Amino acid sequence: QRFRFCGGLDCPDWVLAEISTLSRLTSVKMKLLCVQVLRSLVGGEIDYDKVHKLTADAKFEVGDVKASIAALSFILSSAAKFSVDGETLSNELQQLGLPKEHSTSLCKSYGDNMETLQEEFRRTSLRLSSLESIDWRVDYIVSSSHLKNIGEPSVQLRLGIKNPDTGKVDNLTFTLSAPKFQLFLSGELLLMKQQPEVNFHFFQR
Amino acid sequence: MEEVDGIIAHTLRSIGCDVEDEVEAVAQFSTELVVEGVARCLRVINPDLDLPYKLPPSMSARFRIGTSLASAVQDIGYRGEVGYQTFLYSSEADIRRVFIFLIEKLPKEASQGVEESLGASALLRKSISAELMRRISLPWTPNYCKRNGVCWRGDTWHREAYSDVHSFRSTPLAIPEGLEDLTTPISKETRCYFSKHMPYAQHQPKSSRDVAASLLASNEGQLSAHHEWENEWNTLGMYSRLPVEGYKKKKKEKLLQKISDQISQSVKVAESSNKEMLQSLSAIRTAGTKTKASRFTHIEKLQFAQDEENAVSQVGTPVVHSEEDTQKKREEETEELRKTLAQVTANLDRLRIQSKKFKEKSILMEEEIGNLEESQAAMKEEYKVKKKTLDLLPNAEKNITDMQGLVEASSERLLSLKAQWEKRRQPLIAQYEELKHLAQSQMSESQQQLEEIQELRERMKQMAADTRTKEEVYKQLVIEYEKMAKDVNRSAYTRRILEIVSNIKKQKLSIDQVLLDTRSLQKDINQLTGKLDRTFTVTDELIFKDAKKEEAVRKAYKYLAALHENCSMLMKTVEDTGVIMREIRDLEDQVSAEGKKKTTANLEKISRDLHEMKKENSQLMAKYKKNHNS
Amino acid sequence: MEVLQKTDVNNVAKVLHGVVDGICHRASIQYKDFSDAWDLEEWWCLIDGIKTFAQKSISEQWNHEQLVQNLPNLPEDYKNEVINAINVRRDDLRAALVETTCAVSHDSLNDFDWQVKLAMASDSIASLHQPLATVDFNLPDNGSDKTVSVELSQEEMKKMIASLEACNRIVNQMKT
Repeated sequence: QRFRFCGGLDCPDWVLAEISTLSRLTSVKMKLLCVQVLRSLVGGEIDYDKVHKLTADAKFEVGDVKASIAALSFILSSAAKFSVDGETLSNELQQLGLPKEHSTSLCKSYGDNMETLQEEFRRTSLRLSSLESIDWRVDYIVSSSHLKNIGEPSVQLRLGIKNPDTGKVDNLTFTLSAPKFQLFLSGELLLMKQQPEVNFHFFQR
Repeated sequence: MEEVDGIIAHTLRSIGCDVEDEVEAVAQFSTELVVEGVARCLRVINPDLDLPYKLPPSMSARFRIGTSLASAVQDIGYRGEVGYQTFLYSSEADIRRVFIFLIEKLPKEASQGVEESLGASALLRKSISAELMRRISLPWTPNYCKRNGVCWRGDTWHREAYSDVHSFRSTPLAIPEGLEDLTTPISKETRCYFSKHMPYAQHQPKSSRDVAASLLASNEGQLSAHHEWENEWNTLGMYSRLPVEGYKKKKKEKLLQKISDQISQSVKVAESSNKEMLQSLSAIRTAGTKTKASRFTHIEKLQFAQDEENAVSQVGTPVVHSEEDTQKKREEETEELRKTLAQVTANLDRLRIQSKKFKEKSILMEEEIGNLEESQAAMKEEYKVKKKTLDLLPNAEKNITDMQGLVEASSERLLSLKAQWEKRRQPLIAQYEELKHLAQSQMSESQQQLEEIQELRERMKQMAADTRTKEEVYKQLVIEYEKMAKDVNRSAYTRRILEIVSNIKKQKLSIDQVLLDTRSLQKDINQLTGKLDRTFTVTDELIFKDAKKEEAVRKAYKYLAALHENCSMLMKTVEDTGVIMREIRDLEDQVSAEGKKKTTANLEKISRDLHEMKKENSQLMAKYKKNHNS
Repeated sequence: MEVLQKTDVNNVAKVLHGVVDGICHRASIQYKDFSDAWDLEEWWCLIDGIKTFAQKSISEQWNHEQLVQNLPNLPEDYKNEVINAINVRRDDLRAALVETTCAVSHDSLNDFDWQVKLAMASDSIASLHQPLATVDFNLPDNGSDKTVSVELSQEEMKKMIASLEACNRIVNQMKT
């Protein structure tokens, strides 16, 4: 009852039910349907006319078409999520009852596209915000009303921060005096060094 | 059937039942084993149920336990009939069904994945998953139950919540500086300030929460300033070959020059196009409003006062006009100064070039002097020799013979010395060669041994590494093997199932075939019976018609009737035989089924237990009566 | 500033250093320590007077005579104390005034804080294992603070550090 492509859990009942619907297609049509579903998972659009043409021979109704697309997208995305290789996926689908040719063709197109799927999922995983751009400007302050004869540089930074939910880019502008700027830079360098070494000992602290 | 029993036994072993290895069929399960198995399964499914694993000796307790097991099994949802008899007086089929049902109901255990690679990131993942598993198993405590948000686990402190976290606010700190450098003196007032009035670093920030942050920030600031200065000095400063102060001053001058050039250029551009704007602006300004202080007012002022360091008075309208003139004058002055400067620099360059030339010449000269001195010394030597020969020339012949004699004597002496040297040399050389050979052989021996030792060491290291890797691999394989052995192979089962399905299909085909045959046979029988009837009726009529007339025909008719009777009796007997055979087969099946139920053994057990119960009851009654009477 | 005379000569230095600490955004002196010498109004006047005097003296770089000139009628020893205190704290005051100048036109960065996190998994990938850094910028906002956070992945971090280093080179050229 444990399947690796479901993450070590039971396969959902609706997927089991749709396996029999999928077996009504021929394996070639199944592969073309897979291609469409893969395209939609990576961010494209499904060409519904083509899908209808594919499923017309097997006399699918609208409900069957929807169900088979849903089952295929679940299987493919879940397998990519748990990094299941094509061989294991093929075995497990056959154990669920999908005929051998269907599962081989599905797993072949899955195996070709697993990397792109995983990249896409990684890219769309939750991010709180992301840095779009950073601009800087160095001014030289000669004097001011507070203090005549300053003669110090000052840095103005503008960060473009993108909110991933709305897609809007906010601009955050602020100035720093020279020592503060260098403090900021050294802090960032320290941070940069920590990142690739996120290692064992870091956590024990 | 064997696989089912195998699965049952295996599952029971995995949840902790003590099933012996030989027991592989449900028929061999003893009553205690059955009870233990069912109780353990129920306990795993529903931990609240507190059913004992072992049957107590007293009969009534056993009966109670049996009924409680049965009711628990029915609570879970078992549809078939189950009572205390199922467990205490078990039959194979019932027990098998109950076990299958219970095992299906067992909750699915989560399998623990084992990471195979041992890289740093995999190590990190393992530690993270271990920590998460540990925390999941602990009960959740709310924030206020954790002391200061940290807790001690095992060997380290861990921070558990965000309740005591506050934002990072730093204040610039001042620490007494320059006290280590004894060369630069510090004024008395500063010293007095450091000792009396300067607060300690932890009292300088406004709130004590910010002390750590401020210390970190000031430390980091000092570090970064130091690094930046080091970098700059190492890259640019050293090359300028100036001392630190000189370098800094030069840099500052260059910077100021650049800035003032920039400003004057930009102002020229602005002024030449916006003269009216300036006039109107300055008109507004003289109205006496106190403008908001910004650095731009002062930048404008400064470009008009480049040479002076101090600031000038407020900007007004007439000042703008007159300062245009002064600026023009100043520009002319600067032009002149620049020209003279260019001239002076040109002179300086020329002089520099000349001095270089002279230096080169002087070096050449010194070389020549050296050469000449050498040749002079050689010539002196020659002169000495020639002078000596000239002195000897008057007594030429005598001197020649003397000299010849000297020469011969010296050559003889040379020869004798040579012979002596050879004599001495030979044994020493021989010794030297011997010793060299010895040393070499020793060295070569020792080197050989060193090489061998090194080789051995290498091999040892290699083998140690190999053993280590092999041990690791072995450990991992053992873990994998354990993991694998527990789970039964699903594909083997699917193959079996497919085989069984194909077998069933074949059987179905053969059954269909048999049915077809039976039906065709039946049809034939019906046909033949019908034919028989018809033939008989026809013959009967025929003969009966003639029977009235002749005696022989009447006899023939009687014989026909008798034949018909007998044949029909035969057929009936055959049919009866068939029916009885079928009945025999059914009864045999029933007998074997009943035999499996072990009813006699169970009946015996039941009657014995009933006796026991009766005895216990009477004992209890006697005790009760005794207590009641006393 | 004449009210300075109301207290002892020895306390003058304390008062002055305390006010200068306040200008440098540190913990400054409290009224309750000197409540016996001045009442509250005098205290406020005194503090304002000292602040303006200190700022002007550093800003216009008065030398000794100008300092003496600008101190109103105070006895000699008081004047000496005041002048000593100002001289000793010149650098601190100068640094504080540079900071205020930087903050004139736009918001100036008060503090920043960072954390490193490891995103283990998400709903679309079960083993993401991506390190992310969060940097919080603390800017003043009409009296109180506002905090803006940015989350950076490794590439964004590298980009940011590259441009900051380019900026740093220019700053170093301009620093004296």
